[in-house]
Amino acid sequence: MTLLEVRDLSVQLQTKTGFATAVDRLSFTVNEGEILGIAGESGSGKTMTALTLLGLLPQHAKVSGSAKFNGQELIGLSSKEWQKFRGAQIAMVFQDPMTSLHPMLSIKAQMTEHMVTHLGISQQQALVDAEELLADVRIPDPKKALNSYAGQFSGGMRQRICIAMALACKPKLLLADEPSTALDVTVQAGILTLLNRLRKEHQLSIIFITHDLGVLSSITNKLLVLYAGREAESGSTSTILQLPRHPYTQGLLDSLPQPDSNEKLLKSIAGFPPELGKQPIGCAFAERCKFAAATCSGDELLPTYLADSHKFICAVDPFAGLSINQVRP
Amino acid sequence: MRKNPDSPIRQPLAVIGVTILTIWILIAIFAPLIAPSNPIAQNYGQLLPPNSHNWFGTDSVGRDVLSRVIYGARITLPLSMMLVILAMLVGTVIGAIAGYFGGWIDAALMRFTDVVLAFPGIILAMAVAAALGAELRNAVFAVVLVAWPTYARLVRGLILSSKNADYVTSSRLLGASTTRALFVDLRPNISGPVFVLAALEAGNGMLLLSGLSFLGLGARPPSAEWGAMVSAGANNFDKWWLAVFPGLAILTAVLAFNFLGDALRDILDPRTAKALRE
Amino acid sequence: MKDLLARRSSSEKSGGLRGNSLSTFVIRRIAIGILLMLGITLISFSVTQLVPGDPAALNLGQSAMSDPTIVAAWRAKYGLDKPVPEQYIIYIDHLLHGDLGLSQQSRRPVSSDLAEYFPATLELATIAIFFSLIFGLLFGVIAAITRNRWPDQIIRFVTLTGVSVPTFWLSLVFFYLFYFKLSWFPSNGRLDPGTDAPSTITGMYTFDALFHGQFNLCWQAFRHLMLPAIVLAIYTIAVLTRFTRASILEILHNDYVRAARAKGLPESHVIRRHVLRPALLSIVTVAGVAFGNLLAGSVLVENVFSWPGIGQYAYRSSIGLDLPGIMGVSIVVAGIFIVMNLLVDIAYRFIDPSLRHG
Repeated sequence: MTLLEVRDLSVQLQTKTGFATAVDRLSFTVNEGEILGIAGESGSGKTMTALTLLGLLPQHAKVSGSAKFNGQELIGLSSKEWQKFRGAQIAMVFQDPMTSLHPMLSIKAQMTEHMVTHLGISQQQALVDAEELLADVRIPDPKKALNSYAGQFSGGMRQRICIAMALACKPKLLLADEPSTALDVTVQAGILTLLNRLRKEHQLSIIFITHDLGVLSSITNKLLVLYAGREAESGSTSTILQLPRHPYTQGLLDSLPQPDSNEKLLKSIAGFPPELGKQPIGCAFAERCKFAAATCSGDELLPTYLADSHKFICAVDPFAGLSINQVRP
Repeated sequence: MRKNPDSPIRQPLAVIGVTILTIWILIAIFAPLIAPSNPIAQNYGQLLPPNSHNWFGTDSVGRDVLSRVIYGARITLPLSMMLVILAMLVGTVIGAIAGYFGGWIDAALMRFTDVVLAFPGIILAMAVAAALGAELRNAVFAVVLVAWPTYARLVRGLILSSKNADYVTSSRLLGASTTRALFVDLRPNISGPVFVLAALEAGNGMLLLSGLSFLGLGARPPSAEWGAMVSAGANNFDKWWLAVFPGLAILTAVLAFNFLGDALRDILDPRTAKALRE
Repeated sequence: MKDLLARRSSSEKSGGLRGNSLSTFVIRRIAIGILLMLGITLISFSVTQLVPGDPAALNLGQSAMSDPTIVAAWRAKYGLDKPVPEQYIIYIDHLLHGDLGLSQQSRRPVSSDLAEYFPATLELATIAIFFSLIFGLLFGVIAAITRNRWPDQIIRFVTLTGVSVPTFWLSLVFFYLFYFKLSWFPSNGRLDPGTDAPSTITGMYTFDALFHGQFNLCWQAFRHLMLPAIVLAIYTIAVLTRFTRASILEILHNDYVRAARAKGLPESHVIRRHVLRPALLSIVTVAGVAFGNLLAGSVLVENVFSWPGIGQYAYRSSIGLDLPGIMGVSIVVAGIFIVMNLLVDIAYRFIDPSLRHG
């Protein structure tokens, strides 16, 4: 069952010099119980995509295209209508748990306020549920935690609280924006396990946003690789990780640490992504790409569709016909 | 669509501020040409309300209030500039020393700054001005004495935050001297915010200075200082023109500085603006 | 206005909010307060040393000056025959005993003068701080919510004018307009002529009258207070408006506000609970400083309205070169300022959960 269907979603942000395209004609779907990973460097439009799905873009942003959630069109909702969706149907966990909890409101107040708003339950009932939720995300002594403040918890614990808070109204879709990036590696693993378990238990769909393909490989079913607001490659996680067709995806994979590799230095992609609003026509990655050719720029590029809904947009396609071993020695 | 937030057009306040200031400066320079009468000559009838001859009326000894307001610009504007520059110099030097050397020097200077800030400014200025004798020069000194700590704190903060910036460290590693570090490497980071603060503080200084004159602790009669003129109006409060016009002069001049400072602060980058607010 | 905020952050930083336990913090904070107070006395002492000429000559009449024994006795009494550092010790000793010296104008101890004049100023500043808080918060919230739209622009313009108006001049203008021309407010002074003051409890007539159940008298005292209090409050209203706007906008930028919106809470709820609450806290702390400034600012208002408070006292002292008088006022006002800051910091520690536990 398709839960979320995004078609040609574009977002333009206001900058000092006019409007700049932050998200460029993205299309993707999320099925029920599925985890879609969105990968890309910072500034690639990952977070903007998530914020669009919550109606939380800056006031003057322009949005076009379509995003259907359970058949209902989200783009163009009024702020009142958005309020019914946000938190209730679609929830979000933010990158930095240190700053996304209110420092001066008790956990109790923050856990229950939207439950009372969305579910129409009493404060007492909300408290009982909140305690259960905290136990569910493995917060020790949930009763005490409810009466505490954000400052009393470690980063990992705070992120668990944020997750519990996001799940409080039983949303169908969870947007996780780099939920583990700000945390220690060991804590990261815990959060990932938790999200995966919650997905199964709560029949949750998740859009998992990160720049770390390593994290995505362990929990996602599908991948969408973004570059400069545009889709570079998409498909099932296993296919893309085994046989990436876009040089940028390849670059991201190469920059992951390889435990069995002999090389001492991590590879990185030379250069920087184009500035917001300065994406060229054609392939935005061309100027950093070692395979770049004349066909890369000037014209709009057409996507190439492969089996298993694998799709990429590259005019050169340097990895065509290679086997796994040839691509990743 | 909105206009570019950084363009000067988006900062109408700055434009208004600069315009008013320019007008006042021109008035001060060309006072003898503009003023219809000698500011201390008792040429007219006493306490005449505004009329076709004396647009701002005359005062209790028959002097033309308009001429006095015009000539007053020659007293207030240069003195305000002077006290701003003095306070800026004193504060910057103290703040720079504290921030750059750190340790006990910093601690001692900053505690001293705290003490001066803990004093109610107007009252300390009154005490100093009174102790030194009621004279305009002493009033300027008194205002400088209460105005420098704001600069000291700002400069110290800026130095602390940029002292360890890589480019300063590398310059020192290359053997640059302390003075070089202070004057060449750090100065560009400091001068911008300090000048904005000066614009913001100029109005305050002017208010305090004219306040002291109003209280009889600054300019003395027959000087055409605006604060002293308002004070003369207080003795004849039913003759409203005596106080209203010099007061408006103070208001517009202070307002011009505040418009300018406020607009400049918005143009600065947010982090510096935050340092300024603190 | 910068001054106000600078003074505020001063105490915050020197207080070292990131202390360990609450008691350590309180003790440190009190110690710093005492140090500041010492600094205040050092400065006021130095100012008295600035006076050119012989203090004895200023204090004693012609005939007394001609008698060397009287002069010597007077010098001995104030320790003026001792070296300067010793004079400072004597000065501190006197201060510790509540002796602020002898007013040269009233020929009475400065402390009893201040006891007489202070309640009037306290009453004025108290009403003024209420006005300031109410209107400062109101306008500040409106400005922040309508950021960069016309209500915000208007408020920005008006508050900038508010901080640029010379208070002494505004006193005169208001006095002329609302009393002399329009007669909206009663005459000068704290009560109508011929009215007896309520018997003293606090010395603040409105409170005393209220306490004795003299409601008409309370109303009369309040009406006399209104005009000077409004004038006194205008600068502070402008400062608090701008501060409120800035704190709200700063809080609005925080991730936790976006997180609250992401939970689908109504915008009004987000503003009230997630934004205004923390903003209020910082505003109240600034109000403590603002109150100290109002006490000092009374100097420029009381004179015009013939308000018999410490402002007028300081004015008369400085005109008459009565240094004990004006130093008495500054020490008392600075002391109140330091104590207010201390209380506000400690209260802040108690109220803000992130500091209470952090």
